Amino acid sequence: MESLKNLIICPVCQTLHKRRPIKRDEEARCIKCDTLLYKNIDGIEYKIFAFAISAFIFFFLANIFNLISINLSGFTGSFTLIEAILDLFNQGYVLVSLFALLVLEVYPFFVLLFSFLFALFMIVGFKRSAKKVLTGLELVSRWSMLDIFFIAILVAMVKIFEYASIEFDIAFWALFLVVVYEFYITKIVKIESLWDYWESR
Amino acid sequence: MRYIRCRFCGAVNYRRDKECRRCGFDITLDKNASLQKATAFLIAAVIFYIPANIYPILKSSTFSKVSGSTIIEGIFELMAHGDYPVAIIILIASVLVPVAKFIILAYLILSIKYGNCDSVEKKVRLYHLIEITGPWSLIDVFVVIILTALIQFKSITIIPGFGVSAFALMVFLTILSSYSLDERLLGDECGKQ
Ligand SMILES: [Zn+2]
Repeated sequence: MESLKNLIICPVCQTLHKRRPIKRDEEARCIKCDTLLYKNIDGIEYKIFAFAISAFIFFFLANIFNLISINLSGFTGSFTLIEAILDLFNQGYVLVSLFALLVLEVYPFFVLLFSFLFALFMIVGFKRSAKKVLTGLELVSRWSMLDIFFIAILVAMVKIFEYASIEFDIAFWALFLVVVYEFYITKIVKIESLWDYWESR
Repeated sequence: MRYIRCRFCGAVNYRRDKECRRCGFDITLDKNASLQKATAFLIAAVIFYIPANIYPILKSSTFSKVSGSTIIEGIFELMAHGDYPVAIIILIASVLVPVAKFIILAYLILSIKYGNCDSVEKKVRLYHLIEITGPWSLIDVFVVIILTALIQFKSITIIPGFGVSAFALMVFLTILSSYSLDERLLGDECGKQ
């Protein structure tokens, strides 16, 4: 009987495969539909550890500085992420502002925190704690929407660039780097690979 | 097939088990519960699509007047200014994509309900597509949030309109509908392997 650990089911066509060892940075694909099944991410905890610390700093900068400043015929305006969410609350849009607070502040923060702790626990060998934060990471990652907000900033700027001069401030670039980090964790490394990695240790 | 894939972490488990051996999540296939939840969320989402489109999502007030604009009006405005690429992006992301999602979700729900076994792989791919693109419909909501925060001048102010709440809720409910729909059910009764 095959150990469950050594099996994998293709998420698209449900074909059952046997896991085989692959080289570092190699990928295994489904024999039937070519969907990515798993990859070898040896040593990933050190990369995540280093990237996560920088991402924390960028997240902090993204929150304390202005994202955008504009000048509209002599009048200047700017906003921070928190101000945008608070404005919405003050306008009476309580639910939407709470939603924005969750998907733009709380969940992104926990993506950073849980991925950092996962890397840390893997490095020091706390497997049980690593599992707990990995479960947390899986839960929060799908609700982090900073990437969408970042693109929304660009769309908003396209809407007003005819009327106002626009300056992209420190927080805008910091936010971009946080988005890159979260993209790396959820779309390039992928959380399922982190589960496989956790199990293989 | 005696094995089943965990929807949460991807681990392979025995079908008879209740919880994933790796992450502890519920791995049981519950066709009725999944279909009921997905259908309920989908109907609610379709209902909120209407106010999301007929109420203004943002209002601008100048000295003399307050004027609101719905998503459709916003698209026409962009086109009038010649911003065709952005107008097309918004048209696709905010108007067409939600409708396409409703249709696809309804189709997937019906396929599972009636155990339709045609092109299962394509349906699973459609499901994954909806799951990934789901939150991106919120882009318009975020644009309103950004403009509200940024445009607070004496001469002109921008405030959100009721449509923005309906729109956000519509997107949220669509996401919940797709999460509730267990894609493993798509080919489950098709006697494969
Ligand atoms: Zn699992």
